[in-house]
Amino acid sequence: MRPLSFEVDGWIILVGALAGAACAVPGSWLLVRGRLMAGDAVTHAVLPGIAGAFLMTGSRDPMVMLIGAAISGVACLLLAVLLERTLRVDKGAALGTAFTVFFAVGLVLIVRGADRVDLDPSCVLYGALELTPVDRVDWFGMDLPRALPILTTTLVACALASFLFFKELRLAAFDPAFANAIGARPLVMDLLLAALVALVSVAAFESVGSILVVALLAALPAAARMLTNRMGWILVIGPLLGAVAAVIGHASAILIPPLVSATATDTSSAGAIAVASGAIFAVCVALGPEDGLLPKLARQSRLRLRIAREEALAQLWRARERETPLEVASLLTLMDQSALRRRTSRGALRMLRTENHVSCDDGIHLALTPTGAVAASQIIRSHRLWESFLASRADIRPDHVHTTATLLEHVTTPELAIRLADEAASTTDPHGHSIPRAENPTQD
Amino acid sequence: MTLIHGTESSLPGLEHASDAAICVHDLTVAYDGRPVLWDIDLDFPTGSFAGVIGPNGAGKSTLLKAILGQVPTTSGRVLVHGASFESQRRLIGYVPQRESVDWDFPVRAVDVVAMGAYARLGWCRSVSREVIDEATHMLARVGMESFALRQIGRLSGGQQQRIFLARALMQRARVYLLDEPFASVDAATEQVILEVLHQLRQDGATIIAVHHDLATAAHAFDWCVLLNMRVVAAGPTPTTLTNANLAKTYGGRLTILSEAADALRAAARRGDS
Repeated sequence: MRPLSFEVDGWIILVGALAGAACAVPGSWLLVRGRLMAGDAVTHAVLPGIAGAFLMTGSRDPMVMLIGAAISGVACLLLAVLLERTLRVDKGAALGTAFTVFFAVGLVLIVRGADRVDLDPSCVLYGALELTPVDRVDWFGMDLPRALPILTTTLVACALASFLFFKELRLAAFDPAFANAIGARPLVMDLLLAALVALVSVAAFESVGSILVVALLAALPAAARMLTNRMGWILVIGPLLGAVAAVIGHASAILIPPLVSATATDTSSAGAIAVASGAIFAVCVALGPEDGLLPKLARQSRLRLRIAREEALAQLWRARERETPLEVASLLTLMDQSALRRRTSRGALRMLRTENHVSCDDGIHLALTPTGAVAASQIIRSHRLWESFLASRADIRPDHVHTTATLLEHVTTPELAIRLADEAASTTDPHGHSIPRAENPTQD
Repeated sequence: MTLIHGTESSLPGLEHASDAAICVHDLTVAYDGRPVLWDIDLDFPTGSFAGVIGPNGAGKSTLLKAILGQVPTTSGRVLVHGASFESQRRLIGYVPQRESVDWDFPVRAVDVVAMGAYARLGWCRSVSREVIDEATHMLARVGMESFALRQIGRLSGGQQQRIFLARALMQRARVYLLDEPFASVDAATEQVILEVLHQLRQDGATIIAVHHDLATAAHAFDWCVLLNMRVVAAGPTPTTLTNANLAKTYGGRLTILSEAADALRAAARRGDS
């Protein structure tokens, strides 16, 4: 294992981070516009333009490459529209066909040209991130890796466009019909977005390769979307995650292979950054505060526990009305009818014991404590109010209302209970049981 | 041609009323070569609360989109307060169908309402504090002020519709075009929308709403357009919303017209290849 050095790895990580951040800016807009596929197409379609421009001029000047890329990118989108309109090919199929053909032509050009000039197909696909510190340029008197000023300019350009046209880009992405109606020209914003995608693909493909561009374009904005509901924050968090992916990716490309096999050396940093982007996305999907899997599971299990708790209280109240105390086992059997898992039911029971709502004085039979009785009466109240309402106002047969009322009693807020009491206007449920009075006197 | 124009109600002819808020003349719109609106002549009087009524596929939304210049027209022209739509764009407030946007979009209710001021703001100008204040005020007018900072995806359908209405209010328009504003909304929302629209009309605005619910049409609108690919009848509600006209509107397409439309599409397709 080689030690990480600032002179080499510092530059590589910086270049990777800039590429990741730059790609995430137009990627965020593509994500919310639902156009990541078109972004994917443009990143591939620029390849023949880049190769052609290089083969014709022999220059690696970024401006020359950008012009070539713009020409082939636009040509590909036009071809896709042409296929769609004239031959009535499906939109996705037209785009998919057009960009793969363009990508293939680009590869053929590069392989043919590689005989004569220094252009490496694998470098185009996977990039040459490891070589960036070697390929240097003088920029305003500073001796820097060549990719650094290119990517910095690109990132600034993307950020500036997003800042200046934030409101127009957001409107065009959210509601193109309304944008059109007020003369905000959503089509111009689509073109601006396509131009930004072409720009980042050209700037980033040399260092990180065209395959990684796609990963950076999609994965990190999607990860950022899991963390926030604000467009502005997506545009900040997405690029930051891009930079994080570069650091994690490059470090693991050097540090992890030796752990797996003693003879292994560094793996491709660009590849590792793509994997890191995927990993970051996976973490955000798992932990995202609103739609994340783990918070969602936690919310669901809290809800199930609450329902089980209320169900247990209700059953104990009914047992007290029947004057037949329940044992733990028979209570659990009764709760099984509400499709509750045994584990949840037991958990709810433990909770009620620690809350001091339920006591078990003789070690066998369960009983409601005074505070437990108050809580139980309010659940029974909303259950029986619903039964009464459903039977008297919604004309549902009395023997049908129990199941529905069991569902509704758990979602009844105090405000809803007040309205329900007014509507139901009854002191007994359809089965003749009395409806407990409201605990809060204002509800009576 | 008697099939198209031969209705007994007050169909406007070539001479259009000069006080019309929206004047549609000989408009034909085709999708994919197949006409969905034939030779539409319509005047919406200034200050009217007009409903555009007809069955599914009658071309109601298409008529609104054609007025807004959003669909290419085969023939005809549209005037807004006497001049072309392009020059009068700022006079129009628009409420699209709720289904036309992605409600998971990362944006808050107040930001959506502020979009109604974008045309005034112009390019590159950011949304100012005053615009946000005004947007909050518009949210209050539709009873949604406590939801200003809510992500739009977390709102109910009726609340989303009110957000769209508040955005149209931000446009400070003289003519409001609404596409199915009452579709699948709760009773409270319908009441709020009607109140706001009546208030707008009292302030001199013209309201044109696409509507499919016949039960509420009679008391909601004072002007009705019955549409089914062509104008069946148009005029004040009491004389227009008659059983005879409704039967004509909802009693199936004019078969000959539908067949002709299909033939035109087939011809257009042959012409392409």
